Amino acid sequence: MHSLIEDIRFGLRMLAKAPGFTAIAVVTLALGIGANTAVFSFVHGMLLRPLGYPHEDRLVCLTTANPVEGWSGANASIPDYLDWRAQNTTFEDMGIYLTSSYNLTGGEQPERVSSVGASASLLAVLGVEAEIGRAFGPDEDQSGQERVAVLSQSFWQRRFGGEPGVVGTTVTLDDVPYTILGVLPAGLERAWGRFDVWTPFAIYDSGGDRGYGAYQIFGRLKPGVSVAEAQTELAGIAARLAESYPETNKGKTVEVKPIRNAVVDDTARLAVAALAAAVGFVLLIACVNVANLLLSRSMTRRREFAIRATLGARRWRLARQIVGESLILALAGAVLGVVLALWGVDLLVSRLPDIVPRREEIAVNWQALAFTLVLALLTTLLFGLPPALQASRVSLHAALKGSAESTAKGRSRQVGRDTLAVVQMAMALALLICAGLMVKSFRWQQSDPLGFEARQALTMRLRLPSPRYASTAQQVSFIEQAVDRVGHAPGVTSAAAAHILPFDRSGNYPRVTAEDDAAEGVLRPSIVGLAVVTPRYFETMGIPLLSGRDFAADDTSSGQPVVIVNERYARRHWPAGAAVGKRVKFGEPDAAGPWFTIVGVVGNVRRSALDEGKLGYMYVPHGQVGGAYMAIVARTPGDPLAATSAVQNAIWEIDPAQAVYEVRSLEDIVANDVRAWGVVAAMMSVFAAVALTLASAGVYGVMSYNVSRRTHEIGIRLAMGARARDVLRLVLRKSLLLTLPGVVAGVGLACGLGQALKSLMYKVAPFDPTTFVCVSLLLVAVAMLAGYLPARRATRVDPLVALHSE
Amino acid sequence: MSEVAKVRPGPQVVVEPVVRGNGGTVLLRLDGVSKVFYTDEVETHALSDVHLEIHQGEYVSIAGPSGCGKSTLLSILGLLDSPTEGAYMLDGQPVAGLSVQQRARIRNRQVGFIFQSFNLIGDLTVYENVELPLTYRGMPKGERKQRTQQALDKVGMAHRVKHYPAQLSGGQQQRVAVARALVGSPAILLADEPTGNLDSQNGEAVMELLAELHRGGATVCMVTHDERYTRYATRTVHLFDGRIVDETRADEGH
Ligand SMILES: Nc1ncnc2c1ncn2[C@@H]1O[C@H](COP(=O)(O)OP(=O)(O)OP(=O)(O)O)[C@@H](O)[C@H]1O
Ligand SMILES: [Mg+2]
Repeated sequence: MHSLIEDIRFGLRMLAKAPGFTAIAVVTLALGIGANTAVFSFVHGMLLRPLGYPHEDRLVCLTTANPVEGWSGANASIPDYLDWRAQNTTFEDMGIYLTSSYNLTGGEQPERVSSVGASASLLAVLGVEAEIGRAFGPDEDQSGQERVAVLSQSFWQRRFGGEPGVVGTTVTLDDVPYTILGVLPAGLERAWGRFDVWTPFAIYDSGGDRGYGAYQIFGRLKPGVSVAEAQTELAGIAARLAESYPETNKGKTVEVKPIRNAVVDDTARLAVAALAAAVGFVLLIACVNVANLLLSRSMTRRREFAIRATLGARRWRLARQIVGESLILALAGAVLGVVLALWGVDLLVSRLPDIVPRREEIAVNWQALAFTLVLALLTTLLFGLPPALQASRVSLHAALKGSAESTAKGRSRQVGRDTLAVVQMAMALALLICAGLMVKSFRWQQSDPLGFEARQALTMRLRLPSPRYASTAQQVSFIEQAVDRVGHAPGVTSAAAAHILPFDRSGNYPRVTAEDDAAEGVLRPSIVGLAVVTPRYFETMGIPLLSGRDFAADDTSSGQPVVIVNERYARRHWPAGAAVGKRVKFGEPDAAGPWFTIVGVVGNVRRSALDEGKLGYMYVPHGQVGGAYMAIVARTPGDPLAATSAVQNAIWEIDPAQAVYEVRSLEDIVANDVRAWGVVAAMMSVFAAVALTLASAGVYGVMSYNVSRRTHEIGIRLAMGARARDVLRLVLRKSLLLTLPGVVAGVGLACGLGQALKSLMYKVAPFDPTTFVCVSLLLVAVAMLAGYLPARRATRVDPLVALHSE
Repeated sequence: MSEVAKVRPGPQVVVEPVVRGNGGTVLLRLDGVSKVFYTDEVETHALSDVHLEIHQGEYVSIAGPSGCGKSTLLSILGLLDSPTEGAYMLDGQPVAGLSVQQRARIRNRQVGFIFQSFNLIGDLTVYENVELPLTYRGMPKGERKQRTQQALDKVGMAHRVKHYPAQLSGGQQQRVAVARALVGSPAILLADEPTGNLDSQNGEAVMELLAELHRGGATVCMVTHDERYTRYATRTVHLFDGRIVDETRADEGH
């Protein structure tokens, strides 16, 4: 033990003697450890960390997909759910739910509470029991029995101050009293996300439309059953359903995925995976850097070790010295890395917009830290120890004979180091290119016109409580009045309502058949986006009306059914331009529903940060179809949020019990979504910059070593009359020789990675020539600069000293 | 540098080539050259007030005990180093005040070096080593090849062009080094103990080679402290403690 301390003390002295090497190694390790821990913590928090349900590995979510029509991850319909549940043998049980909200009245102001309407089986499937009181049972999700509610822990605390006596009392939701059965544990909210109340969902009379996929489904597998087995069985059931109900289920199948997939969607998953891969690259580059540094250092220390060996040091004694030094390096790197990680995670969480799922669960992950630490230690040992042991085997005589380096062995070692430098360059370039693509994509996302005016618009949501606004006429009348009053509220120039706004996370995507379809030849339905809107919606949103007319107050259910389509849809189906007057129908050509006449064509609108507005879109008047769940949009000349209370009051004048919620400016909604991608692009850029720095440090190290190894040779060349520029060229050519293969390999790697990131990119091709060329040139320039510094040093070699150094 | 400036002759002083008794023009001329090395408060006077002329076609040998300044003298003659004081004329031109680039050019065209430790570049082949000085002149490839071949022929190493230095014996390496020194047809060959790392047989062979080059018209200046080899020279300069203490001519004999 004592001699280990001695070794460490000696190691410290040796490291202090080579401050440049020590600093670069420690900073490299710290960057690798810090960045990796931060991002891995992020990945872990979002993707890998268990949600906290018992036997979570058996919990799955079930969604529908249609490979023929090219969509997936969609919600399911109740009849499909009932058939899956009844016919399977691989599940213990399934549960179905719908997230929704209620107007809670009885307090000072009506309040919007978020709710989960679930089958009684759902809590059982999740394995969750009430903490106080009880949850509802199978008899309570029947029609007529469902006026009971279970509260979330936080809602219970917030609204009732954690008073256990509320169990048995009632709350008024949408004007109906619900009996409180119990309070759910806090853990459920952590796993599930925020919600206020959980009410039974009487599915059996909630409409048997097999085509109405609006419900989310979780299932618990029987012990020992794999996700793949369940998938196979359910795909079989779905195929039978497709055969029995072709008009709704043709081509439709089921996807069974681990429950975590329900929380973080595929795009976010891919973005996070891309970040994880990027930072993995950084870690690899850092390790390669340290490896290269250690190899170079061991070469310069061959003499020291040979002399020690000749003087009788045993090999394990030398090994211990290396271990000591590696430990010091790894520890110093780790300390700095932990600081970086703590700071990085903090920064990350604070910069993430609140649409990022599970954001609050992100914290430094100590396993990740331990993992990267071990990796760093292994790298330092792996690349520090063997050369040292080798040196200790070489005799003093051979080590002191300078010619030893020009032997094949010396040359192959050089090739090894060169290869490491090339690998670094390749990885750094690939990362830089991906970051370049993401940044370019982000630029486009920001600068591309949205198709509507996001500035100076206020939005808020309403949900009309069902008993009082059950009929279409009641809904239409309320929304009409609300829009009218809001439109005349002080500080508002125009108002409208829509059931879905651009940049909403959800959407309706029905299949629609177009009459006289020139594009298809035969009548075949296509998927379009759908929004139910009121008159003046386009004007209020700033969406240009290109031809025809806006919806009018007399577009009611008694009138002729009308729609407005976007330009994309009009162009695709009637390229000649005469869309107005043509008719469309929901579903197959022979579906029972009515034909809708196109009365107007409006501009294309982007629906999310990544949406290029390529989807055909259709607007239906609220006056004809109704709808209880609407967003109000108010255009304001000044700060939109300043108009909040005026707008709320306008609504409460009609119905004081109506909750108004999710009050936000439209600009904010857009910015939040775009910002998430900005964070991804920024993080990619930071990693790429770190990678570039590390890789150029690597090139610098290799070239530096190369120059000091060749000092003697350069001296000879100078004696032979080489000019400064001859020497400069000699060294730079060498660094170019390292860079070019790195560029070729890096471009190849980037092609692959770009392809994988394709779905995260907005208007940028995975093989974007400008990005590839510019970024490659940047890398070459930085690498040449890294080579230039040692090259300049080489030109200053004093030939006399160099010739003496033999 | 200030000392150098002090004694630098006025600009564009052209010294007429002086014809001397043995028929050659003066190729090199040192006038009161001193060299002082300053290391850690210690001044080493490696050369003090050296006057030396070397004529075209001469073979001068520089002899003296270790540390007397032979190598220093040769480095100054070869423009690898500058005198602290005094003037150096090469081919009638003052050398002081030349730029780094110009000095490199003179080293490349006028001077051929032969070192005790051969100083071949290990990563280059025999051929490439010999060709090296020519590549710094921007000479066309064909001409380079012809000259390199000729030089290798002269030293009898034409059969080993593809070898690397590590694959040659010491004697062979030194012959390659000689070929490299003469490939550019320099005005003078400077050899610093060229036999120092060779056994006597190989040493004799290299000496014979230099003698032959001298007979062919080359000007040679060689450092040796082996008295046996001074007999090849037409003149021997004896250095002691940085000063020229004696000069003997071959015809004056011993
Ligand atoms: N770069 C230097 N810095 C300091 N002192 C030097 C330097 N080069 C040479 N000297 C000193 O100058 C003196 C002359 O050295 P030089 O190398 O010319 O001797 P030498 O005659 O060639 O000796 P040897 O026969 O051993 O090669 C010596 O005292 C030496 O220590
Ligand atoms: Mg010497």
